[in-house]
Amino acid sequence: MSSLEFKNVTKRFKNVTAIDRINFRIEHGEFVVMLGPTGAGKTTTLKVAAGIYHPEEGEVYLDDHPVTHVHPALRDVAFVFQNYILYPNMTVEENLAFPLKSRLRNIDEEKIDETVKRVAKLLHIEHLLHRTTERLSGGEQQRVALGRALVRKPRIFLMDEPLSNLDAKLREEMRTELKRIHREIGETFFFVTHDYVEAFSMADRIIILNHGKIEQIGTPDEIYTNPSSLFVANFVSSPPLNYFTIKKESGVFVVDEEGCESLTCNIKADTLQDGKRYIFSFRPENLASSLKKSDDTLFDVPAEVYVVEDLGTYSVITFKVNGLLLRQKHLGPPSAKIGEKLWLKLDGNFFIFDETGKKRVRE
Amino acid sequence: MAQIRLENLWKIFKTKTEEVQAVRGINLTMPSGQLTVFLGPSGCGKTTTMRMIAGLEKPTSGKIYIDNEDVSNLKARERDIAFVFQSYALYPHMTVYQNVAFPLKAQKTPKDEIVKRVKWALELLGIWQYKDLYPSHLDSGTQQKVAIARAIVRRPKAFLLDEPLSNLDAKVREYTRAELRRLHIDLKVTTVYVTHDQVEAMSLADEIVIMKDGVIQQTGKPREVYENPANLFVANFIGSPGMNLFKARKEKDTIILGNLKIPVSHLRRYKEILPGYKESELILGIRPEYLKISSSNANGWKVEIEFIEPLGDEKIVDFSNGTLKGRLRTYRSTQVQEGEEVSIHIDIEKIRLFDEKSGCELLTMHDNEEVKA
Ligand SMILES: Nc1ncnc2c1ncn2[C@@H]1O[C@H](COP(=O)(O)OP(=O)(O)OP(=O)(O)O)[C@@H](O)[C@H]1O
Ligand SMILES: Nc1ncnc2c1ncn2[C@@H]1O[C@H](COP(=O)(O)OP(=O)(O)OP(=O)(O)O)[C@@H](O)[C@H]1O
Ligand SMILES: [Mg+2]
Ligand SMILES: [Mg+2]
Repeated sequence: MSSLEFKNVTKRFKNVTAIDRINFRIEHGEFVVMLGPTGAGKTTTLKVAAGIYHPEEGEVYLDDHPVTHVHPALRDVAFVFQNYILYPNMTVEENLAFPLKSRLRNIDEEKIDETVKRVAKLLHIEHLLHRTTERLSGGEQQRVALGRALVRKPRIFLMDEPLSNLDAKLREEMRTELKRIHREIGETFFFVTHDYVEAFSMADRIIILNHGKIEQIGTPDEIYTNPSSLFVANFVSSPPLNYFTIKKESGVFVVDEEGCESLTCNIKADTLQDGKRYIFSFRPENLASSLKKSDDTLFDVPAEVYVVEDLGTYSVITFKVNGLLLRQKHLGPPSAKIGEKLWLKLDGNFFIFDETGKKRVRE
Repeated sequence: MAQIRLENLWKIFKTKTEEVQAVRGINLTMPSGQLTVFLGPSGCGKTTTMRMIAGLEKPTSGKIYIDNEDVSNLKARERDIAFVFQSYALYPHMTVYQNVAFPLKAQKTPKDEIVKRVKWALELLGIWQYKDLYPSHLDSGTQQKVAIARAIVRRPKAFLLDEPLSNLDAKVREYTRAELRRLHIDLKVTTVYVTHDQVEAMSLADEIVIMKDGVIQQTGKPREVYENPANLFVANFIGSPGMNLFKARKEKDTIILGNLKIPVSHLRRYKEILPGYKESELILGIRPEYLKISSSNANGWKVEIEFIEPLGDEKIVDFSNGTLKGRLRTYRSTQVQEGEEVSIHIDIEKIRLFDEKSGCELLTMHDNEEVKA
């Protein structure tokens, strides 16, 4: 069990800055998830932590000791790669025992056997110990790959999207499983993914990475209720966040988007400055609709139902208002039909950002 | 536009060491203009079925009809079907426009017709502005749209799409999904869509076909398979998390679930057939959102909260009652703590009962027996 800290770490590849002066600290026993889109620099961050890449700038600390120039083998970290490699002609048992059999470690047979059994039990694969790995389903193979990391007692577990090759249902099961394993063994986990549900359901804290820069660090709750940028708010919204540019003109908010000429927007945000542009946003679960116009309707024109998705637990209705597409999410079967005209209303929170979306503006 | 019909379709792959029964006797009619989604876990035979419809794989036995014409022995290009696969193979040295025009050129379509149709397809997908760019300059979502435009530009009788979104980022996938649904509504071309993502399936499908081990488990509208799964597999596979499945007992005219007794007369869906049901053990299914935490309910179901998983505006709460373990879905604002004892209210209308031995839902099983008799 260890802490991991990055201080001002930059890693470049020729002219690409993969991670750009990043700072974070992961405490002993914490489960931290780094969340970001493709190309954000997640894998690069993990590889710098493992010592596979050397940063151009900054320092990496394990347990408060600088390790920036320490060889990967001497850092004692376990890395679960996205594309796991199992030895196909070996049984599950042999695969699990393999990392322990290194001559460097010199562990006796009995001890190895005990560890393999313990980890197999933890992962619910005891019944598969004598099967060769090519005869396992995808999810079972994934657990063996995880097991190979867990048999060791590393200082920290680094996991690079270990669930993304699995089918949706298995991924869901493995999420719960990983969280359970983390609780049971209490080690430090650093996990990267581009799936926000994965991050929310497992993480003690989330680090949001975009274009090599950290956008926000916080608990799932903090990230959800208090996103610091438009990027963060949108990234943790499913379906995608509703947002558009507004401009205050003599106290009235007009929508400043293509195809929305003279569309006004009825919101209460007195502190915003006249003549300036802002980005107005709200989550799909905070949009409501009704047949009648009322004082608090968002626009002075009705919205047309454009797409209706019945997702079982929820439904998502996409509305079209002039050139804007806005989404509403509600529990149960869809409450509207394609082509219907309804009045939109806000029901709950909204967020306002500056024109670039980089900074939250207090309403 | 065309109706596609599969009649007792089998595919057995023979390798040196084993025989894989990938598709085992599929019967299915996909009406003209319908979007049918094949949904099932990895390895259940979705792609194999699709490849047989496309003519890329020869069935071991059975027949494929397009508009009542037996096409089983026609080559892929004689079937007038367009397909899009997981990895969009665009021509890297051609612009978006040239990529989409390519199939029309190959068909020797007149030039002004090509111009018209390419414009139509690109505008329909909202990517006209990228027409002069090369694929490598586009993000993955847009590249996949180009692949789809290239498939629709020929106006084929049917589209086959095999996990077209699964290589995309989670966010891009969500945007593209709704657009595909809208595209289908506008075009109304018979479409077969394969995925293992149930949210995608629910969102896109007119009808969902759920497969497991090469066999169809259930066919129905998204809402129907969600509310009334035909068996335990579907109950668990659809929904995230899936339906809670508890061991329960039937004693005379009550269903017993832990300390909870539910009179059969309260179960409207089952009250006609339950008296005739001979087994005493059965499985009670209920979706996580149809369970509510209620602090005041004295005769509710007593459980202990074990674990809370936050999911943004909601949370999933794991609970246990002795040997029974379940999950419920509630709002983020619900006050509840791990270790706490609470009482749970069950929405009785939403209870589904399953036969323990066969895994069949009781009403479905009853109706099937009626049909046979
Ligand atoms: N070895 C390398 N050589 C050159 N460029 C690289 C190398 N590794 C990564 N990059 C670039 O650095 C950036 C960050 O890449 P990285 O693999 O860390 O992203 P990621 O967040 O892991 O993305 P994904 O979700 O797609 O795995 C990208 O622009 C990538 O092209
Ligand atoms: N050419 C082949 N030779 C032998 N077995 C095959 C062949 N193609 C597929 N199979 C087997 O047939 C079964 C069905 O495969 P198929 O590709 O149709 O599954 P799928 O439902 O599309 O799965 P996935 O979601 O993983 O793509 C699998 O067990 C697979 O291993
Ligand atoms: Mg990566
Ligand atoms: Mg497949």
